[in-house]
Amino acid sequence: MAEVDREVVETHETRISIADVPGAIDAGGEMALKIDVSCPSGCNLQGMAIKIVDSQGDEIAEAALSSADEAGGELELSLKAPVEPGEYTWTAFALRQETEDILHEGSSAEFSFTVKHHSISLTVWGISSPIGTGEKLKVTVGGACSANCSLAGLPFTIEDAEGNQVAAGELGQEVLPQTRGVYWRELELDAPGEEGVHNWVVKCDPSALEFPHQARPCEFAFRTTMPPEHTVTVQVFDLYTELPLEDANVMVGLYRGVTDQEGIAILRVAGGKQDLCVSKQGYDFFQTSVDITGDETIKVELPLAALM
Amino acid sequence: MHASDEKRISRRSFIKGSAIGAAGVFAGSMLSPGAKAQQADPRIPQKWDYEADVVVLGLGGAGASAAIEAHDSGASVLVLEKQAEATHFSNTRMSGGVFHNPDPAGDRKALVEYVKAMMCGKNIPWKLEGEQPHVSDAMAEMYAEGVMEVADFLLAQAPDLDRKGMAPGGKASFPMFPGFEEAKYGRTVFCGYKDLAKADPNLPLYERPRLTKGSGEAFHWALVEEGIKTKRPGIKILYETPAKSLVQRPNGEVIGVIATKDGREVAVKAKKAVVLATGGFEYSVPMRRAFLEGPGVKGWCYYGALANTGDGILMGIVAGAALSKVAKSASRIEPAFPYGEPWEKLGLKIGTMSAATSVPHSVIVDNFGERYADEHIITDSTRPYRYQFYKEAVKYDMLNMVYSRVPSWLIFDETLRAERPVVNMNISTVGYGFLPWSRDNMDAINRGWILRADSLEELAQKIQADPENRQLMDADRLAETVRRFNSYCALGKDEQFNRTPSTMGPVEKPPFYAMKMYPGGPNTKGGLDANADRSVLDWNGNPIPRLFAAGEIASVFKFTYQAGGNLTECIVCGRQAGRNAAKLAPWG
Repeated sequence: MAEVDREVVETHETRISIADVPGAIDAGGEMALKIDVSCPSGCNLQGMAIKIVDSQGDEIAEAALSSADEAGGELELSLKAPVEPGEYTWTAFALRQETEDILHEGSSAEFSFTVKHHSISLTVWGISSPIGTGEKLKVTVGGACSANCSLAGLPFTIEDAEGNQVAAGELGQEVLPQTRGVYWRELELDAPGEEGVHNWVVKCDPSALEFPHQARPCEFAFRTTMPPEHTVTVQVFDLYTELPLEDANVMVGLYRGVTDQEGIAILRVAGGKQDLCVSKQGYDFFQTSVDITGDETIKVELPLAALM
Repeated sequence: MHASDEKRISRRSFIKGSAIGAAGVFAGSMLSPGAKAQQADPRIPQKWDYEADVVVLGLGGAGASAAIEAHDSGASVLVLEKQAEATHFSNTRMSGGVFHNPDPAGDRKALVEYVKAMMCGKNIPWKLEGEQPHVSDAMAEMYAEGVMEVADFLLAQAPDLDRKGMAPGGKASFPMFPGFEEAKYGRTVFCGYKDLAKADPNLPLYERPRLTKGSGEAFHWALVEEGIKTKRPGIKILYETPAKSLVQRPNGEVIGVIATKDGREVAVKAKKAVVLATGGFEYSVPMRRAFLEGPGVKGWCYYGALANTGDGILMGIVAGAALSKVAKSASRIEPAFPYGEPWEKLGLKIGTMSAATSVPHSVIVDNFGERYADEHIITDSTRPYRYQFYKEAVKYDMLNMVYSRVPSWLIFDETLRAERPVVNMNISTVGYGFLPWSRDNMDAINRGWILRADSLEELAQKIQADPENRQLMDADRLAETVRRFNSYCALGKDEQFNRTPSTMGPVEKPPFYAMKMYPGGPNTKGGLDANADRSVLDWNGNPIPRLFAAGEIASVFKFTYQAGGNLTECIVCGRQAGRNAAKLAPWG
């Protein structure tokens, strides 16, 4: 068969569209876009080249339509978002394609998205409040990144209400159990010498992290009191069965404890007149006033609450 | 009949009233009353499949009490129960099994006043609802009489019940009501078998041996297993026999019931009377839609019997009964979860009882992320609010035009998650195995029933992504709410809502969790109107002959309610209905 020059006999327009563009994406995060190119004549466009270009004209990615549908072809494309936060508009091109006797014209469409900072959420727990003035205050500082970055080794500081730094540290290397990415550090600090409620704040320095992070300081509060001088043993029983009640929450003044298997909570408390409260789910709440003048044992019987 | 203070109903007016009451329903047959008396009424069966003097519909606490009392008054009794015997879970059985036992040393007159205040508020100058002038005085008298016998009635059925748990004493719920001090109405008391304390606490109550039953299981066991099956085998029970309609004569008189048994209709003749004790409408979609405030179907939850679909209320409506305060619920806010496709299609979730509503390391917020109440009033039975809290939860945010507290969100932290199950695993829908739950709560978390996030901000995003939040959650507000609450914990005082300090504890340790809470609770309270005799009333306030009602279907507590009130009235009103039903002369 003699070779003849191939002639293009038909020209088809194409139309490109982009779906699943995220409104906002974390810096450096993955964007999964769906690109669809259609031909009004219903041609199979599998293999058609696709190019993604940024606003400067620099190429971001190149790929080909990977599957065909009744009126063209489509592609699921994963792109890495820029590292710098801001507004972005990129353009997707379907490149002109000649096959046998059909010329498919190229087409393009713009799409926009916002790249945002990763945000670090700081939290403080396990605060030993109330704490005797000058005693060791235990706190645990934790942080998590909204994009799940590792925060291992993230430096942080703790400041008092006047802005004086009272402690500094780094988050540990392990992820807190049950979490996807909370890194933490336990600290022992010197409690202030004055009695009262103290509002301190934890701040972190994310500048060394790979992507831009914003971190909001986290306030936490604790209370200092005169060092407790008396031991109060509270024994909690079920009024009817006379059996000890575990897991009852006991408070004498500001001091709290939880009863053990024997129904006993031992609290170190300051002297003086204060409220004794005992509560346990499923039982009636109990409250009375006690005058603590020395070491004491107090027996409390709780009636079953009217559950229904 | 008992005479009402406000309306003495003589035999003559009783008959006249009945005819008037029936007119609306049987207008067609009233055209020439009497003229066609000899002609067979197509609504009256030619042949009866079963018969008894008194036919009781529903075998919960009220039905059982009615059956026992009617039997002991000399009547033959047949009970129709829609559930199967092996899976018979009445609301009584699924409840906490608590009731009222006023101190006999209390003043009787004061007791009547106190009860009247709970029932209708008639004697409270500031009361705003609960009006039942046609029944209030006689009803309070009847109840004041009956309530003193509840404990003894239970013990008479089941001598192994522990009298100690039933001991009168303590403070009743409403110190602001007339007669509070002198009545010595007392705290809610507990029903359990003597050996309950020896039971393995890790077993659900219903799995413990017979003698160690507690809560609603004890109540059910005492009345149904001991009171009826053991002590009164003459009371016949037909399980899996749902009643469908009442058989009425043209004058409105109820003479039987049409029910379904083994896939066919059966006619049950009630020679003396029918007692409706079919419970509330907790799982009726149309009734929830019709009666409950706000999103009544999707936005409410109940944790009692799934069989309570308002059957008796519907039968009563068709028979010309008046409705009374139907929207009332013994409710607060409780969690609810999906229960299989058929229920989800209807929009219904299944409720259960929270065990974390006012414990340390948790707060409850609205859809915007704000706390709106002292969480402890939801669970504290020593204050008057627990059973009215649903009114707070269905509050309409007029400016935003949303029910901003439906659902509410229990926000808690890892400390609480690890410490205890956040739902009650011993009773209700978890206790009876309707909902799966693991003690560490992880099963519910892995199912997505409880949301989990590393930070409060991420938790807020997850809440916002839940369609029921309608994108109202504000991450900053939620974080600020928790920060403020945590500072109150350090201070030892909740400066916003004055929550009980021992119930507080900071929400601080990641991960953080969110569980949806809906208005709801154990049961609905409103339904058919009924008088002190427990005769069902028509819209003119006149009794429908030979029709009685007791229990949730026609609760006497129209104004407010102390925990255990519904079980108490099951016995008081069930007995009253059974006794009055048995007293009637048979019609044929």
